[in-house]
Amino acid sequence: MIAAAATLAATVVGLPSPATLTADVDGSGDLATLTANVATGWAQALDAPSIAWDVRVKLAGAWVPRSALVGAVTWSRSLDSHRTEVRFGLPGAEYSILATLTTWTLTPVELWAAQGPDGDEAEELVFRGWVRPGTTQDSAEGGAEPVLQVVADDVGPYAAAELCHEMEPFAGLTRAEIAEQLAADVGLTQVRTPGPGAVYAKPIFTDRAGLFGYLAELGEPEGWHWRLVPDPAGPGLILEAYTAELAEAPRPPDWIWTPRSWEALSIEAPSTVPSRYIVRGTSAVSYDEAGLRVETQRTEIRQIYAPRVSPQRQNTSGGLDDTGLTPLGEALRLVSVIESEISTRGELEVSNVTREWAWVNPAAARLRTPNLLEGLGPAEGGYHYTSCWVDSEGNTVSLPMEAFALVGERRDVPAYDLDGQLVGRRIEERRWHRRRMAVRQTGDTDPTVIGAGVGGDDASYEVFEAGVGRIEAYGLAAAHDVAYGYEPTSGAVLSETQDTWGWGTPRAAIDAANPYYVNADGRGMFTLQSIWQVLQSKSIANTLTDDGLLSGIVEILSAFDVYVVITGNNDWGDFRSHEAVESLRPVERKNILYRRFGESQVEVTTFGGDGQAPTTQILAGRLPIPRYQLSPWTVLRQEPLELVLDDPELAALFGFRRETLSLDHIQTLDEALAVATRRRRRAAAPLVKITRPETRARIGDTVLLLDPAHALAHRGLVVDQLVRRDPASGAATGEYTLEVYPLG
Amino acid sequence: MTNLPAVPAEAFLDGDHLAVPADSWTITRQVARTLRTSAGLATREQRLRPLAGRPEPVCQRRFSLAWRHLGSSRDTVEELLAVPGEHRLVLWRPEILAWRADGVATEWTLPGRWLLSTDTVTPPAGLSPDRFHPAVKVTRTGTPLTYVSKTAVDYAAGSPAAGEVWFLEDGSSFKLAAAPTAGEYVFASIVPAYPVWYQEAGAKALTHPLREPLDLVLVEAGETA
Repeated sequence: MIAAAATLAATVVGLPSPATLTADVDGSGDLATLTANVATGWAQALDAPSIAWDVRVKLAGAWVPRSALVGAVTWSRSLDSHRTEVRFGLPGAEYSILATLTTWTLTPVELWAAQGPDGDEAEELVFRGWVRPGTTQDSAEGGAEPVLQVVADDVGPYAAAELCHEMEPFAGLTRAEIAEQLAADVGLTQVRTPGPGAVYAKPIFTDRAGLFGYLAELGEPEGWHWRLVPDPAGPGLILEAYTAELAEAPRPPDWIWTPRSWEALSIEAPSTVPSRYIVRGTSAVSYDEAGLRVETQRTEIRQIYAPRVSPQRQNTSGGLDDTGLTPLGEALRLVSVIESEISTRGELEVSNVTREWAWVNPAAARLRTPNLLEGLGPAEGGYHYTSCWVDSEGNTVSLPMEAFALVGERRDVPAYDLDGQLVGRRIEERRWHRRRMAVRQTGDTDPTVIGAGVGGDDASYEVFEAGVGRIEAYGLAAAHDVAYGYEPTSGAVLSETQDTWGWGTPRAAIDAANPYYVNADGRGMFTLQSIWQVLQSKSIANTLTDDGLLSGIVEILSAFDVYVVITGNNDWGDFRSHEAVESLRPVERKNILYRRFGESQVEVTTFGGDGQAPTTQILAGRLPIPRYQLSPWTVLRQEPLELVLDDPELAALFGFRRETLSLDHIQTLDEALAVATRRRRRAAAPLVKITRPETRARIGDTVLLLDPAHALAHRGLVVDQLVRRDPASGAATGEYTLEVYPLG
Repeated sequence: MTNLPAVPAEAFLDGDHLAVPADSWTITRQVARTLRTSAGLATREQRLRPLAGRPEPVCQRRFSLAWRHLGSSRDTVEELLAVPGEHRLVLWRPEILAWRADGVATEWTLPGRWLLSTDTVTPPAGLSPDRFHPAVKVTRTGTPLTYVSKTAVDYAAGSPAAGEVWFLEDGSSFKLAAAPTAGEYVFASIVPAYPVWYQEAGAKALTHPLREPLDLVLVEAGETA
């Protein structure tokens, strides 16, 4: 059991001084109960039956004597404006426009108000701002002392400040963080919001908008209203967003007003109330939200075409036998199908595949090397004849007739890092291809390699189907690996490497001293068969200007090569070299230099790789732009959204009326709905205007209004407030406008 | 209060005796106080807080007198008012003022730039100045304190003994021996020399070129802070 009484010092938000909270805790039951009383003297200071008040004005850091204030001092605020406006009159030549600058230029003004029952008065800073430039000084009739009306507000130097701010889409900033950045641009470093707000995915272009107008639109989907409040800890102002929602029952109202509270009341009913709200905006979509999309395109070509047949077939003695196959008659036939399949996610390409179908008859070898148990064959050089087919063009082929089949596929797959940046791509090509294969070892005179066939071009290749000597296979024939390196600040491509893979083997010397292999065409081969390896490599290095444009390119191509030496140690057949095998080495280097030449011309100098004199061209235009990193701007997609909110009840009451709102800062339908609902509610709200002694009620407070004579038993939201304190009469009057929502 | 004069004394303007009984004057007060009335005749009081050290109520006085009452003093008055600036009016009439104590302050100030009448003129008709000295007491039922007038030097250097109130000679301040409890009121009955301005009457009142307007109007100068 816990029973304790405690006195806690609590700072109640909005009160200038700490309030006292006295609490009793009763822990005797299942649940502990806290009964608390908050000393509300300050809050009720203006509502006491007899109050004394004071109002003091500090102009340019100096107190204005009370005797120098003429007429009433007023200040006004509104839910629909961020601005607090203060007015007071100053008499005499001392404050004249021609005598001082303080009364009509941006001069700091503070307004301090004290109020309360005798002995319990509290003074607070109700306004901090600047004189609004421009005023008039009038003399009353008869040349009496002139009075200068000073108007001050708290936007002062920020009023005309234009924003120049750009934020990329998907920056991950909340509305509060964006507001902080925008406010800091004009010098308001302290920003307070009720919460962080939603993450704003769309880009921000302020485009010379004013701060407060921009923030009003930005914050509307959150229900934020803005005001400037004096910083209690320093000389500045805090930009504060607040929400103003009517406190519905059972929540207690902030205040209860009855006819005993006010002196005059009027109720103004709305006349033009929209019954249909159309809210238009856009929402930002990123790849992830867009989903995977596959676009397929298929092209079919039909022609008058007759598939080729093979009228002859080679026999093992090298003769040609008639097959009796007669050519098909010409007809309109499908001769080619090209199918492309592009997969994207948002703006990001995931893959790009192209396939082609056509009539094909893979090539066959005319001759083949003997196998293990055979001796040398009857053909010249000791080869055996294959049983290949010979088509009507005389080509050695592997099928009696052309077949309609897949002949090629190109698969391009970009590679991205976790940020969605393109870091490389791999392009694979599948098609009918040949792989070179040797027929003998260096030093041998007869074909000693098993499984090679000699094609129509007299070169030897790997045989894939021994019976007909097929030397072409469908499969991976080439691949290109491309990798990009980016410059971190500008995002421009700094380097690019392209490796080309394929079936091949370095060429080698053919003299007997070297343990290599020889193809049927007489060229040396480093290995017996082609192997899958890098055949060529290209590296491109960009040099960039400070602003990320190209100032030069160095392009180096590496391939298998050998240096020819006339008196070389090794015989390569058609030349000699000191080297025995080709190696992968730079074979070509190209430098391109771009120079800005005048305002709109570029000099392009190309240094070739083969010792040629550089060539220079002058081109119109600017420095070329390299490839750039993916920017959030380029992957942004904005999808229009539209919300139509119909209210048949309001249409019946006020007639049909449409209001179209184009709101740039809504992101979702939920936000559009929230905005439309709030606007609809306010538009249909009667306004209750009350003149009464000044009270503590503030903008956004909920007041329960009770007056049977006006059929008032409603809660109202304070939306406008004007306070007038008149030192001559001692009267402190408030004019309050409240919205009530009888229509829901 | 105890020191009402036994006989109506005649007014003094700028130290000159006016052959006009003080009760011929009309005194109008504008008080910075509003009674607000709402439905059901619910009333609330709002008033301007006095400046620090100043008494309740915050008000301004207008003194008016029909020129015809001036009689033989008329030329004197016209001469006095021909000189611009602040004038001093003594009506030998006590004003009751109240200062709210905060538990700390021991010194207070008369409203506006009031002076004590006895500091500026000698009471007429051989009346004792004692009759017109301030009567000060702490709380309404307190014992009246002894009035002591001090020169600026003495006033600044010392402090009153218990039961005394020191007034600054030719000044507007007074101080007590000890600070009264916070929330208590210090009451004083003061016969002041009002600082006043002469308010020119409007042209409409001049019905005849040789005749002065009906009323001579003097307006209290009021606070300067």
